[in-house]
Amino acid sequence: MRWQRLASALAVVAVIGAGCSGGSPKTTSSGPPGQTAQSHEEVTLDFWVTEEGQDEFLDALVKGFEAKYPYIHINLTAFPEDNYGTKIETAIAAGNPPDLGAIANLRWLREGKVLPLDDLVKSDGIDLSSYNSSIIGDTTHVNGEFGCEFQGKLYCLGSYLGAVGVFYNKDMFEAHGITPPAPYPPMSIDQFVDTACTLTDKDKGIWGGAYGYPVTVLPWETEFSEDGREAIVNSPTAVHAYDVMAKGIREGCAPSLSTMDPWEQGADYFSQGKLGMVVTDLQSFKKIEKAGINYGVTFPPTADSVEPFLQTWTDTFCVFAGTEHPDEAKLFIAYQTTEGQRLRVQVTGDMPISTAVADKMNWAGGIPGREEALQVVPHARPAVFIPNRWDTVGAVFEAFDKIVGGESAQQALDDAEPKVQADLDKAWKEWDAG
Amino acid sequence: MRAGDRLCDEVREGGSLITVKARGRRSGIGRLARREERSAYLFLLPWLGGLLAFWIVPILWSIALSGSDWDIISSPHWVGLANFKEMLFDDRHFWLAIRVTLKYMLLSVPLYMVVGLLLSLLLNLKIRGMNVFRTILFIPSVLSGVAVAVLWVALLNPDVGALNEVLRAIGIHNPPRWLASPTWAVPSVVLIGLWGVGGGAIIWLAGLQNIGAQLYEAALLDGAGPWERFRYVTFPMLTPTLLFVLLTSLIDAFQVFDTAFIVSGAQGAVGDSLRFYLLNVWYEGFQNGRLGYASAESWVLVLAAAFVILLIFKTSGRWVYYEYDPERER
Amino acid sequence: MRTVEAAPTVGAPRRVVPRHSKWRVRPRRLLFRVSMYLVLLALSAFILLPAGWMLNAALKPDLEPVFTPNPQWWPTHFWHWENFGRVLTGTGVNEPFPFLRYTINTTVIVVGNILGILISCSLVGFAFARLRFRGSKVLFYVLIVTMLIPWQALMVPQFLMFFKFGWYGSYLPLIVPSFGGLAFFIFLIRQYMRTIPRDLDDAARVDGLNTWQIFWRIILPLSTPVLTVCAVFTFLWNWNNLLGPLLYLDNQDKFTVAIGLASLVHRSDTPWNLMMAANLLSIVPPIVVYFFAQKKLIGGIASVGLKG
Repeated sequence: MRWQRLASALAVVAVIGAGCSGGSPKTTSSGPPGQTAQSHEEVTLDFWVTEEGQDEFLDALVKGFEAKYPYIHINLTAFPEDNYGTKIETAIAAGNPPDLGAIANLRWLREGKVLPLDDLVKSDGIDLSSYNSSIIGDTTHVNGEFGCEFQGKLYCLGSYLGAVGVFYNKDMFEAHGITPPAPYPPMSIDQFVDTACTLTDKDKGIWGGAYGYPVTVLPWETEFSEDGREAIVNSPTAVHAYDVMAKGIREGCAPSLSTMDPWEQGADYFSQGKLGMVVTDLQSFKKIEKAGINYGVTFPPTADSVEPFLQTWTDTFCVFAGTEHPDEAKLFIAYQTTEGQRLRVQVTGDMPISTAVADKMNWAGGIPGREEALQVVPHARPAVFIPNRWDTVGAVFEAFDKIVGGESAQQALDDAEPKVQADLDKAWKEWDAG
Repeated sequence: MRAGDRLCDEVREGGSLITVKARGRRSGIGRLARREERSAYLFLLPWLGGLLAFWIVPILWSIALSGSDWDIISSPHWVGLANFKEMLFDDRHFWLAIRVTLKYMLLSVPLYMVVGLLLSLLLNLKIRGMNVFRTILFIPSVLSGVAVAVLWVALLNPDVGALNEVLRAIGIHNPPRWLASPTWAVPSVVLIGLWGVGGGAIIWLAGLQNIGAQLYEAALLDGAGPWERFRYVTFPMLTPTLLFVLLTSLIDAFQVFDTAFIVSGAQGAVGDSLRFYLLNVWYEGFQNGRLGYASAESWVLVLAAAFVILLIFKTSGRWVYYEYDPERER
Repeated sequence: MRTVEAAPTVGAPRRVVPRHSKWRVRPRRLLFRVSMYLVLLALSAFILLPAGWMLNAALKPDLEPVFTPNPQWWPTHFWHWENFGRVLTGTGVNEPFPFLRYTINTTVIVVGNILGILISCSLVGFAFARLRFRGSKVLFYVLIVTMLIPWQALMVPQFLMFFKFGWYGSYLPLIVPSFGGLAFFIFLIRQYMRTIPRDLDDAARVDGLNTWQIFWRIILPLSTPVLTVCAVFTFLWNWNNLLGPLLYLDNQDKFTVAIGLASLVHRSDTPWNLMMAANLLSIVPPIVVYFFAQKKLIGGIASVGLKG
């Protein structure tokens, strides 16, 4: 699924420092922000991003920041997403990292290549209380690569909230006489698929629901133990959930994953009225509103007796250790998470990471769907941490394909379990070794 | 006659003279061989210089990395043979990668060679507009690997892709699920590569161009038909090119990466059925942060491939015909 | 009766045809030509249909789904040619793909490489092909083995080495190594040069030419076809090379076409129409080069009449 990579790649901030060729002059640490420009030497910060991250928001952010701090110039370079991590790592290895970038890999945090930002929060008085807790995290959980908190420290602060959610078509529910779901708590996966089958109308080419691979929809605890070290993919809960989801596809209540990828095209199809419900990126509400659909938002379905979970992420802009201008770079991060949130709402209409800002700027704007979204996201919690996540869980993707193809869920998952466990063991061994 | 003239006579007549004398003995004739040798080294200078400047150090470094654990961003630390031990005994991905890559090799190398040769024979005909056809067939090689892979992922989509629509239209009700199917995943990649086989045709064409017309004339006078002309003139004269294509196709198959990268990344995870060897190396080194381990796997590949390649080379003397082989007696 | 036509035609020489029967079309030959044309047309379809699909995708407006259930092999509905313009000029914040600038940059790198490859590989290939020297076998095996080393293994060490040279951020690491040759081309040239008969060498030596002159005046001109192949492939590989420029460049003004194309692939919300348009545009220069290079492919020994 793409959004995992999105999360990590979003922060692609290229800081191509002047590096070897005449670069930014060495400056002494400038004083606290707010001082008059004349007292500061010119500073250039290299900021490496991905092409995707380079949109109107980033433009506005950089312009706004440079206006506020005229002595700081941001040198923005964009790289292709797929290779961003490699570019940063080779730069670090050469001792030439950018000043600002995006966290694409937790190892950078563990090796101390990214500067913690807790002191910035304190000194600038940034209020994190209304930030989504899954991003900021708590001391007992690591939201893995999706959040900003790692081993008790904060490494990014985020400006928007990306989340997986369920859009549903309120008119369709009404037409079938079904009570629309509340934003929270979510349906069970059985209820979800049942509802999808009720809403399906093959003559009109409408699927009642659309969802991706189970491992991207259901909580991670369905397939993994809480500490992420044990694979329980063939537990009764998981087997049942996979079976139900595969049945939904086989019976035509949901499109097969090669017919339509809910992540890439979910919003498109929903906007055309072809889907009753869809599990997809909550940021697509702009498309849906433009199409005029009367939509509602609810929390993604969960498996029996598993605590509900929805995947969240944000832009992971960070400051690299080895920068010559840590203070100025941190100024940028502070700006990004305060003024940046307001810019997110103004320029691109994205949901800000802090519910307080959302209220203050009236992000919901009276649209019921958006208000429901604001009720959904505070229940987000960090994901189970699995090192090298996507390489490790690969076998469950193939297992689901087989189940959709007709194989028994118990069989397919029994086959997959030893593979996943072996991959998991290897991943943890590498992680623990440090 | 001057000594030089006599030398030339001897050169023309025998050659064995030079072969014998050139073995290190100081004599007039040996001097000629030594002069040739000196020239040879001068000709080789760019390559030798390049090796020294750009390759030796990284190669040694990479070999050293095979015995260490390195995540690129911190310092490597030495682990000795632990990487190799893990690879052989504790890593199901390693053996998976070998199986996938071997399957690909056995399918693709013969197929691409036969099709490539046939295609080049076709493209070699004197037909009007051949330039246009050759250019059209070259287009797939010109597209970026990403574009080709994206295109074919769409075409090979099991439910809505064009290929299966066509297959269903002609009566095949359960067409293969291509990239989503464990049995058809590797053949799908072979198929994608087949689309681009026209690119290699110019190598064959250059070889074909170099077969002297007088050979065909002589064959014709002997009453040879098209098949005999192919078998006794074209094919033998093509054997140097054939050796080249065989070896480079094998090497390509060992090293397949670009297509595999895009095609398997479509899911966001590398499944078992598309885990090509170098793709696995890439994941280990650059996703999982184990460049030392990835280097170890790379060098195992080099060893295995070198063994196969050199074996083919040793036996190539029997079936490859060179018009001019300096190793042969003059 | 005419004898066999004097002009050398490589491949399928013409049969002897009596003059007075020139107007009688041999049915077998006609059948042969027609069937060959059909095969060529079928192959061209195999190539062009997917390319047509790309064109169709490229001409779609922004939010139109590109992967539709009923594949459209040729544009029929949408004709947004301006997508190509958008790609060329890269206007707007969301479309930073200044194709023209990238093309110029890439051309510099490509031309540099072609120069380096042609010079170095012809010299080295000649040595392996036609010269005797101690260690030729061993060195040749070394050459072959270097082809086997995957770039994944060398990428980071080489990067750090070039960084230490101080070449980071410039085109140097992307061009200079080509002057040391590439095993693939050296091997190809060796195979080709060995098909040139040694009568030429002997005749030349009799005339008093030294090794260099034999290379420069005789063998090299005869090797135009294989050198053309090398140039075309060098063009192609460097045109599409992504990782090299990505690692060594950090200034967007220096970026290449390949980097631009890769940047169009996003993890979500890829602008497929622009991406397809950009890819189609990027194949134009190599195709043009290839089309004109084909003339040079004819040559070699076939065009030299050796008095038997």
